[in-house]
Amino acid sequence: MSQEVIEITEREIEVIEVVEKGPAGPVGPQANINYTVVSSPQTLSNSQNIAADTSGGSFTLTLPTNPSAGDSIDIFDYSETFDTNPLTIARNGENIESIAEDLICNVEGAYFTMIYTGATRGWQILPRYGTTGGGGESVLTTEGDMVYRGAAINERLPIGSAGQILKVNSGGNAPEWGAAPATGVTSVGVTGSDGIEVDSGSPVTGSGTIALGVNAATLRSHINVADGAEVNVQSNWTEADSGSDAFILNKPSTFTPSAHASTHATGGTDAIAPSDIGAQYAFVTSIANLTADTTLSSGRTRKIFLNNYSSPAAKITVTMPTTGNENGDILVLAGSTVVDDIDIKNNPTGSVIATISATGQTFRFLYSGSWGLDRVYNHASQHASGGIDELALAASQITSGTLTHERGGLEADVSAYDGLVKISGGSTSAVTVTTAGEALLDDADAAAQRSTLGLGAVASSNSYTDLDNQPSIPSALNDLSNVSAAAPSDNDVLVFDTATSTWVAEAPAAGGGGGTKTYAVFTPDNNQPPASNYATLDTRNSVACLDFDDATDESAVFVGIIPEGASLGSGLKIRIHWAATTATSGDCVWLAALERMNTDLDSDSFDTAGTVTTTCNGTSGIVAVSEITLTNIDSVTAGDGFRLKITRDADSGSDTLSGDVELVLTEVRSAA
Amino acid sequence: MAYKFTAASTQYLSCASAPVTTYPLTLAAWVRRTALSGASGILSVGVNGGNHRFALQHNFGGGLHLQVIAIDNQSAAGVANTSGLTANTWGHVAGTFTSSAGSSWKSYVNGVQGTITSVETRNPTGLNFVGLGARYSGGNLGLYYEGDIAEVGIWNVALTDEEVASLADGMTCDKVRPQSLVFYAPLVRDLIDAKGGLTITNNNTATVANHPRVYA
Repeated sequence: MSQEVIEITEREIEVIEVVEKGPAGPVGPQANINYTVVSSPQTLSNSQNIAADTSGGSFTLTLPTNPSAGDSIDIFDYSETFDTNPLTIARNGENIESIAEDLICNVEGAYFTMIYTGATRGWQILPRYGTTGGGGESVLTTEGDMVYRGAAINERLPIGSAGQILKVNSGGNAPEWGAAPATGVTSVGVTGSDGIEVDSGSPVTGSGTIALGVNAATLRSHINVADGAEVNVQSNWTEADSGSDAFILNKPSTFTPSAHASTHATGGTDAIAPSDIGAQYAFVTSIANLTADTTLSSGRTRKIFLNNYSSPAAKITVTMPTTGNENGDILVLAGSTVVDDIDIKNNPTGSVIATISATGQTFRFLYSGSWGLDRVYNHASQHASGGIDELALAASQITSGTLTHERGGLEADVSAYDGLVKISGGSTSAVTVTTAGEALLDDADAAAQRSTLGLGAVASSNSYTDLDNQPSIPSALNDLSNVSAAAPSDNDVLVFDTATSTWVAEAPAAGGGGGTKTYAVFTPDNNQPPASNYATLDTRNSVACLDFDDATDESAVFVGIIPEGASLGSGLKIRIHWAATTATSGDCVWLAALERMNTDLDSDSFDTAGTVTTTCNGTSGIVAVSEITLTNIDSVTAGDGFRLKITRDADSGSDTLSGDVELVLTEVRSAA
Repeated sequence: MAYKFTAASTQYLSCASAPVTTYPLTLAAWVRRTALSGASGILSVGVNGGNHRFALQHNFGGGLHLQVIAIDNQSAAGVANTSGLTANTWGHVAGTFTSSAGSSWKSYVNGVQGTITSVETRNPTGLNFVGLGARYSGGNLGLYYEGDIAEVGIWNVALTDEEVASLADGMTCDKVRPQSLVFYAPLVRDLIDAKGGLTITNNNTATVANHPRVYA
């Protein structure tokens, strides 16, 4: 029979193996006692020993009615089936363990005695299991209580407070409830006697602090921190106290960079050019006395002394190094009493930087990608014509002194001059200033210049209206034959012909430029009406007009002159501006006839009329324009008088416009 | 456009003042008579509600195509043409008054002077009215015109025969001695005194008609 903890709940009572002080007894049903096997509901009696068999199913045993204190009944799980088929003990009106609830036995193999102790506590349950002796056993009284093995007997551990954790007491011999750590420890294994150690397999995760009740030395040993270790110790190079936390042991007294000279040398990983450190005149190598051809090796600066050198048997060549040079390298050829025939070559193939052939000279050559002559002392002869460094200086490079050069040289200091300086005496001057040119250039203003140039008043006044003293037109401009293929006539004007891109002379066109031209415009009051069937004078909104009947042909006659220059080759166009008196639809037929007024005025002699049919505007008061190209113009020519007769061909079948029409304007224009 | 008058409708044009009130003067107009019958006033310069007047009028019943008269307190006196007009045809009529002597008065139809003369003397006074198509006589307005009238002109001089002939040829009034023209109503649709600026009233809605042949 197993020993199980059976909890008493408020609603159900299960068999509890409660440790309670009481007499020790054997484990399991007692020998030599008669048990009654029951497998069905019944009421029990005092002193019965019941072997309840629930193998066939759960049933209820009812406690005796009106028990007396001290009455007892033994019950055990006959078939060890209480776990599957629980046995119910009905209280029959009395309390069981102070609770007015039936008891449900669901522990396999349970064996217990029920003893009636009175109305208050009612039937008490005495679990029957053996102990090894010692005192009585404690009773679990509160939900959550636990039983643990004490020194001699099972002991009760009451339920702890919320949040407490179960731990081993300080004596290490019993469980107890304690406070949970402030931050989570996900897994902790208890080992040793030093407190809680985190298993390697269950590391503490998260952040925060862990308050450990462990020995500091032990803790330090766990985290390999020496006794007395401090945090945030800042080292101090200058700290001299060896006992200070900031003291630095084994400080070197000097520093010798390892092999850095090569790194700063030419070709090194951090090469430094002389110009980088301002080095200019630190001489590294020198040749004390040049006597023979020499090829220089690369070096920062060097100085070659030419002292006491005189009259070599042959020209000496000094060859500049071509490799290993750095910008800023300087070669100085120091001055000597006698220097003769020395070539400074850039490379063995022979390009020459300079040839020195004068005495008492000092030269400095500067490397900037190639060797060049940087400075020459006592250089006057060097810069002269034929010298080793013949100068070609720009004027801006001359800051003082005078230059006496063959071309453009000045005879004297001209800084005091405010104007042009005349150069004279030169034999190869590029510009010759004549006397007339001098006179013009030194004129004070434009007027004086015009006077010098002999310009008259027209130019001086800047006004084209001033025609006094106008210069004569060169005769060539009077001749237009070279302008136009045809000889010009009197009064011809020059007209630009875009077709030939030339100027041509032609008679002026009436009305000005190109395009059609208006030769005459007639208004109603210009009408010189025929003797009969005449258009009658009227007004429309005070606009004068001539009324033309819609049944009888009526006419208006205008008199004019063909203007000079009129283009008549294509005839004339007659444009009639008119409006219907009331009609808003219909066609009006107009006739136009021209008479050249070179015949007897007593009779009409109009040429054949031209005609046009025009539909009136949809609004009666809006003017429509009818245009007749009149090719029969009675041979009028420019300057001829003419009569123009405008007729409404009212009786024409094509004239469908009802009512009068009103002539407002008549225009005569060129046909082309 | 000329103006058409219907006598039965007592249509006439009028001005409330006279552009000329004494000698010399000339009256002229273009007329187109529907029928050469009856008598009708063409143009008068008279007295509103009075009798004194200078006038041009037809008296076809008396055989006179044109009467040119002057009336004061005495009976009418005047000169006349007995021919020249054609029904439904524009014709020009004119009368010139040099002085109060009737012998200085002249009548013209189409530039032709009439043959009837006068020896009377008349002095109309108090003139304050112009009538076109009617005239005051004895205080009564009458002799309403039946036909068309246009190009009415009044000068404060007696035009010459040639000048009247120019008018008859179609010259508009403003082309003939314009400096003496004191009243000019072309009657081209608009009722305007193009010279004197008098207000012309259309009484009883006289209508417009085709204009005569003039050189505008």
